[in-house]
Amino acid sequence: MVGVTIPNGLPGQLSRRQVGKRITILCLWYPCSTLATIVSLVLSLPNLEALSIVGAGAESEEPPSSHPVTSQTAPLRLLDLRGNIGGIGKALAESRFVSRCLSLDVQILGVEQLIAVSSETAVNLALYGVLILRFFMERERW
Amino acid sequence: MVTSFLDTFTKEIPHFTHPLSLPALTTLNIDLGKGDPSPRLTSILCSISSAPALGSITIGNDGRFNIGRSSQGPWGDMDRWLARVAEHTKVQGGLSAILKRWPEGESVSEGFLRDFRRAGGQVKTDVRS
Repeated sequence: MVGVTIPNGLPGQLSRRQVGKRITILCLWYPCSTLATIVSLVLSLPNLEALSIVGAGAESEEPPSSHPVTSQTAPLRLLDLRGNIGGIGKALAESRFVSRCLSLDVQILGVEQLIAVSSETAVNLALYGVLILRFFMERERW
Repeated sequence: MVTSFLDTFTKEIPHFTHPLSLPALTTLNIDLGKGDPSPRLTSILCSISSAPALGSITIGNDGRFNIGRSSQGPWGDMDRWLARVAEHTKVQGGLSAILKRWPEGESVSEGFLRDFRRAGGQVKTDVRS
C-alpha cells in the first residue's frame, strides 16, 4: 500500500474475521496513519513473513494496541524499515518482533532495540545511512 | 529523488549498556550513501561485540571512499571495529570487506583499513552498484 490512509478499525476487523492469518507480506510505503493503527495492523497478522515500512512519518502518543492481537508465531523472513517512521521501530522492538533478515535505516528510533531483539536469529543485517530509492531495486534480492 | 537523513536529525547518540552478540549473522551490508560512516552508524556497529559467523561485510559508497585518513575519524573507528570482528571470526578464510561501487581501475591504498588487514581481514573491491 502506497500513501494510503489505513482505517483505525482495520486491524480489529482483520483479527475478528481471521483474514489476517492469510496475509504473509505487508508493504506500507508512506502510509497516512497513526502509530497505533500501523503497529496494531502489523500485530494483527500472525503469519507475517515479510514487513516493509518506508517513510511513514507516523506521529502519535496513543498506545499501539487497543484490541486483542495475536503474537508472532515465527521469525519474519525480512523486516525492512526506512525513513521517518516515527516510533514504529521502537514499538515493534517492544513487541519482540523478530526477523532473520533486517534492513534498517540507522536513523530509525529504536534501531538498536530491533537488532537486539533479533540478535539470536539475524542472519543478514543491512544498515542504511541514507534513504534512497535503490531500495526499490534491491528488494528483489531478498 | 534522494532523501538524506543527517546525523543532526538524531538528538541522541545511542548508548548501549549491553554489548550485542549476533551468533547467526553471516552477512552485513552497509550503505553509506555519499558520506563517511556516521557517528550513529559507528555507534551501532560498535555495539556489536561478537559475530563469529560473519564472513562478509559489504560497504557501499556513492561518493569516493575517503582513503587518506583511515587511521583517524569515522573510517578509523570503522577500521578498529572491523579489526575486532576479524580477530574473532570463526569463518574459514576469515572476514572479507567488499567495497562496492569502487572507482574502476583504482587500487586500494595500503593504509586503508590497516588494522582490519593486520587482523587477518581481506579488502576486496567491486565496481558494480
